[in-house]
Amino acid sequence: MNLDILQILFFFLDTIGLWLLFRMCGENKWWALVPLYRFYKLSQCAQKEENGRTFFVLYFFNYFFQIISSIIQNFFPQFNGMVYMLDVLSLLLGIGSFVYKVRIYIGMCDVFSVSKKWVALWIISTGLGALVFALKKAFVYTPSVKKSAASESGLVAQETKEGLSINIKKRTVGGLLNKRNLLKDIHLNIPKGRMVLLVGGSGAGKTTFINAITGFEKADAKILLDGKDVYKSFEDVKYDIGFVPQMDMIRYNDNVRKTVLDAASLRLPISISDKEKNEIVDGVLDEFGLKAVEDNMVGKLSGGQKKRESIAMEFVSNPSLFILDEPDSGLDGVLARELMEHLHRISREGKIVIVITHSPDRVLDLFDDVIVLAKDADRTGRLVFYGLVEEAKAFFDRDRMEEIVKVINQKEEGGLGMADELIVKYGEIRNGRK
Amino acid sequence: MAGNDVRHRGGFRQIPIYIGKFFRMFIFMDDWKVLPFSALIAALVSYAVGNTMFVTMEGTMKGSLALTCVLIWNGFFNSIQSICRERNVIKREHRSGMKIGAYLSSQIIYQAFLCLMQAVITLAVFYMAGMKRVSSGVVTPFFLVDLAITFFLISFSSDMLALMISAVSKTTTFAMTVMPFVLVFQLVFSGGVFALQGGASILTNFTIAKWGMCAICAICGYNSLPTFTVWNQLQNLKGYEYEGMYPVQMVVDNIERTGNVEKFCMEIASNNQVAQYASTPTNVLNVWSYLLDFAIVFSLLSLFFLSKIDKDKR
Repeated sequence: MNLDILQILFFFLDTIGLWLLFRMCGENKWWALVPLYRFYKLSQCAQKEENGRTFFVLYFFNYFFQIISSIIQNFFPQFNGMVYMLDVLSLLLGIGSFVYKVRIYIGMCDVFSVSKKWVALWIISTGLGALVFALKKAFVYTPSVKKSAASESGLVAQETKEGLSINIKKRTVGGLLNKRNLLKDIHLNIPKGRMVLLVGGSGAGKTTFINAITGFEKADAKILLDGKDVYKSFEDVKYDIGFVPQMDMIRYNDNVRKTVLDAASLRLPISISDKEKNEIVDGVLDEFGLKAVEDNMVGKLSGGQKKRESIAMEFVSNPSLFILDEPDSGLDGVLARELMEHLHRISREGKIVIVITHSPDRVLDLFDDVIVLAKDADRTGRLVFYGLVEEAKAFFDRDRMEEIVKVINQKEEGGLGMADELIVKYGEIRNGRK
Repeated sequence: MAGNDVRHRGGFRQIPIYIGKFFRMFIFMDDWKVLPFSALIAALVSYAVGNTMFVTMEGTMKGSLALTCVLIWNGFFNSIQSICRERNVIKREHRSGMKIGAYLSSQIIYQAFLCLMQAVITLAVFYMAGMKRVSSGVVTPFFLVDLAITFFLISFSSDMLALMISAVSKTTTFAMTVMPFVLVFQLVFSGGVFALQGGASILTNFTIAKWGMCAICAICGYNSLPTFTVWNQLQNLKGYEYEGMYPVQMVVDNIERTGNVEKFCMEIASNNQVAQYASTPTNVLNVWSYLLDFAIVFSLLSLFFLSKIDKDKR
């Protein structure tokens, strides 16, 4: 009975404390009356929303198992054996939710710029912690300031029968509690035979963009490759897209020739005979300088050779859209240049070659166009620029791509934080052209 | 450019590609080493179990538990890393046209081959170690064939369980962390280590270990074997004195004098018979079907989990 009274007292203390705190950090104070969900709101105050979501889920299931356990004990005593299991589960979830709760409290100390020692008070009683933080005059709520993100450009890329037409409205992840935009408002046309550089700071959405245009991760978008809708006809179009991932996603314990041959068997139409397939594989191995090592194990190849093996696997089906995610990582300047020259030659065969690289300046002369992506103030990937390399230099008033990336990176990442204004500027220029 | 009329290799035709790949890895890389390892572990266990297996109830119970452990261990180690270690490669190939069903079917065929080899090796090692042979089989006319099928099914269903864990796991570290817990569950809830009661006894039905032991005990005729536990206890109690007399010694001497030791042990054993160890074709076939059901369910779950591979976060 005493315990029940104590629990009720703590509940009211939490409610009052959180009511005052929510008023301070701009949340709707009525949420303080809603058990459990108010902790999620507290995590938003503490700018620890992700931790708040995990806490919410863990705590919810903890409660759920406790309720089931209580029902079994009271109404189904014959299943009492299960109660122990449920209590153990509940304990595990309780430990997890406690850790996430502490993370939220630490976030609270951060946004109030006070010592982490105050976490102890929060642990003793959330209500007490909230009351002190809300009422103590020396404690000032100072969350990191959020800039407002650039508005949408209102542009739409014209749908074409040739080349790659990209119209991405948005690409979101998460559900009810954690919906988040990864990409937004990206519209462009890439004609055939172009070698395109894709740059952006880390987290700008380069790989998400690639996955969206290849149809691997669908966005709210319309992507046309030579007039074919990539999403609607993915099963057909996927064989026409070659994607070389950043990491060497190849089996090291298979030999070079067999790896390319198996890739050819998967990618080429069944109408191609074994003899023709072997000839194609021979040609590709020769073109990528792998003929001499065709009987070696992939794991025994050098870094450059592994990269070429990975590219050869995609090239074997002669795709018209060829995308490479950091193909030059781990390669020295000479090898990287050779590889890019090779890709340049491939683009001249009427293919679209899109390359992500973190060292673009050493091979910039090989690229025709550049796509610049950046995170806006809402941390959503946005298109800052698409056009000729020389136009990009003029637009950003910088000679080097690495300097351009610095200009668009947010300030907390060591950049100049100009992404939002440049997104608007680019949109205005393009709208003006229209 | 690929048109609508261009046909690519379907799932069924992709199976030989992957079977070829797995067997190349078996021959040229380290995968073949699971076979000598299974022989080594079988040799160690057969040495520890001794030659009472299939001779007495106690020896058979101990031996069948040890054998089941060896086979589960083999199955686990065959496949626990096989999918998660190449998860990125699978994801890439899936995007290039590989069918998950084809990949998994190839894995299952390859794993079945490994399990079959290991079952034969384990049987050979136990045979060489002097394991007693029962004169005939329960389902087939041959005891060794019945035992080989059982060994294969135990190993294969465990293999499929580990394959499912591998399909769920994003990293090899995670898979190797989960594996001991699953293994401990299999052994503790097998019912062979200690008797379980209440709700816990229901859980035994969900272990490969329990049904593995059932199959082995049924095939070797566990219920027709003698038990020497009580006899050995009586021998130890011969010195027990009651009102100046030695009643236990009198009983023991009487049984020995009349040459009824074996009859006595058989009578004691008749009280320890277990219905699930009945040496009937129906019972053995039922147990085999349970083991096969485990394998099928785990394979389907692997397929379900692996088909979500495109949703992997970076």
